[in-house]
Amino acid sequence: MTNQASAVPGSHLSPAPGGEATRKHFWQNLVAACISIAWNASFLFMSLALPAGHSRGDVGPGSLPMQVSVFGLIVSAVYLVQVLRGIDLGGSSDRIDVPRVAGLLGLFVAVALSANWIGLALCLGIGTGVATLLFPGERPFVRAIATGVGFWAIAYGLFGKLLELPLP
Amino acid sequence: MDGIIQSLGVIFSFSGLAVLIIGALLGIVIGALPGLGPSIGLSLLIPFTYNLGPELSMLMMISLYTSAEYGGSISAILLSTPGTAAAAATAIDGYAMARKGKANEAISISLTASTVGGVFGGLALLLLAMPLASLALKFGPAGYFAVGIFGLTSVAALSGGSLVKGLVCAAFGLALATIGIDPIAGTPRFTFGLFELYEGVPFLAALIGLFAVSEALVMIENRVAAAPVIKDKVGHVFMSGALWKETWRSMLSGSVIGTLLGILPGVGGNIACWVARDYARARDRRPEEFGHGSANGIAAPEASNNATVGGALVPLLALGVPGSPTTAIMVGALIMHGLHPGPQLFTEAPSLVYAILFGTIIASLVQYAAGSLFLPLMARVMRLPDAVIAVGIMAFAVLGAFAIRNLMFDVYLMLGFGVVGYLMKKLRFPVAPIILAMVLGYLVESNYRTALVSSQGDYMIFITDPVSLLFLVLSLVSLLTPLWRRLQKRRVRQVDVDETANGTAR
Repeated sequence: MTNQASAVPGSHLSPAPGGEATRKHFWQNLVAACISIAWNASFLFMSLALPAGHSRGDVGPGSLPMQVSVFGLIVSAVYLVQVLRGIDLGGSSDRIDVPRVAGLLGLFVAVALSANWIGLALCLGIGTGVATLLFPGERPFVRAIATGVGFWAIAYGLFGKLLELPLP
Repeated sequence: MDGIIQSLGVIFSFSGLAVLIIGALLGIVIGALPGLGPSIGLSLLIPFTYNLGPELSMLMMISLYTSAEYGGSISAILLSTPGTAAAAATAIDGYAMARKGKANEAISISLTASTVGGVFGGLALLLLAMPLASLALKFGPAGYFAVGIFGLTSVAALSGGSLVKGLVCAAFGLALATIGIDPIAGTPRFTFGLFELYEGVPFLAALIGLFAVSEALVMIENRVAAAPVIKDKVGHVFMSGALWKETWRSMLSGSVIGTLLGILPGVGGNIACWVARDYARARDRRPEEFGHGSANGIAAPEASNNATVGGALVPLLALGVPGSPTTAIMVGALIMHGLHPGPQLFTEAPSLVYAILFGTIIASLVQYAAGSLFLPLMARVMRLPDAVIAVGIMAFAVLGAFAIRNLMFDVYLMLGFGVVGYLMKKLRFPVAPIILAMVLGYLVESNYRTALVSSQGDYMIFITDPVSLLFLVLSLVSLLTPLWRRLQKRRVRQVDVDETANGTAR
């Protein structure tokens, strides 16, 4: 465990330091535990719909997924119990920088989506060039153009021509 | 004897050394590029080796295979982006060490351990090919199932951080591994009608997303406050005496583990690296340093993944059974030259067999020389601006994901895994158990069901099979050891608290 400090009454261990951070971690871990339970429950539900095995002794295609989802449900329940008991299992204390993270991700999703129209190499060149503008630094436009041209050349020359990757 | 002399003549000829050097340089580059592993490298190389003849062709492929296993560690250390699946374990301590300003040290350990592992694997191939192959082939499906479980528990239990989070991730990875066509009955599972998922979730797309894309997303966020990008200078690759003293045991244990696991069909460097890291951590005097830049955390997996090369060639040469996907491609190359791998090869083409046997050792030494010369060039990636490195990770991730099957679907999937990996990093979930579970999922399921079919549904086969029993016991030990250690620590802490309280009361 990242932190074994417990808020359980009677515990000799001191509570986790950083009240604000611990509160944040509690909510983060609570949401994660609930998502984990929901995932494993839905996986179990889908596993039950799979057909039985045909050969003698074969447990069927649904057997292992079912066992895995039951195992997942058990460990997720243990995780939830640990969270509810106040054990700090770690998490992020800082806010997510949504504009930058979503910006970088969105740019590369756009690259993937437009690859079939204007080509992956060109898309990557444009995408990487624009993406560098999300970072602070000197002479951003020169850096963007240099990066874009560089990655277009790598994608087109190295992957497309030299390694003969059939780029869209 | 003639075969030995002929093979050494081929290896030490101008053409022989040239193909070994070209193979090593290509291997390092291909290994270092995320998404392009030795399998893809060999697939691309085979058509160009047809005119070289079988000996030179095999030498070039072995050199590429060996060097790609090492090359994967370069990007794992410098960018936290394992170039190959076998370098995933190296990324943890390698990148942590590089972030401490010890990138040069990390790479020197990686290159040396890879060379030691490669030479050890080659020697094992040379000396123990037949006996080890016959031993490994005695393993039944129950034994292989237990080997898979052992690999799984070792990482789920010892991935660092929270054990319960590690187990949640292992369950998630196993669930992902069951997606696709069922290995026994052929029934599609959880594919939602998408033909792209019939072969399962592409492992490399998941690997690139979880490791690389998530890192780029973390990097762009960290630009605001602190720069996590490595700025250390990488110049030499010689390990200090102190580092040798610190890591030789891990190199040796990694080499043994890698060689032995490499012999088992289906168990390659991507599993051996985790088992070797786990073993080294268990034996280390400072296990808490693992995950924070431990030298042994690099030496053990790197020695093991290169040692698997020699190990994987044992069943290929002795019985014609490929020990890994990469050696399966090599079978294709041999067939292209009109040869059939197996015991008959020792009498049909002795010079080829000895070229492979000696070539595996020589290729590791050539890899060391090529790696030393090529390293400063590879390390220049660190001197690139932070923005270029982050977007570079994203660009190579897109190209790498596309290169797997030439499908844009894999790119979307990889980006999705990137978001999952990013959120997991924010919530301090270990990513490694997912990857390991995905690797082991097929091995575990196919052998589990085959064992049950062969025993007509009797679960006792997993106990009565001695190999299975051995590995299941090892799995239990592996799972219970961290719990026992934690209990011991808690007990010591409890005693300290009580003593402090008693002292205050007096």
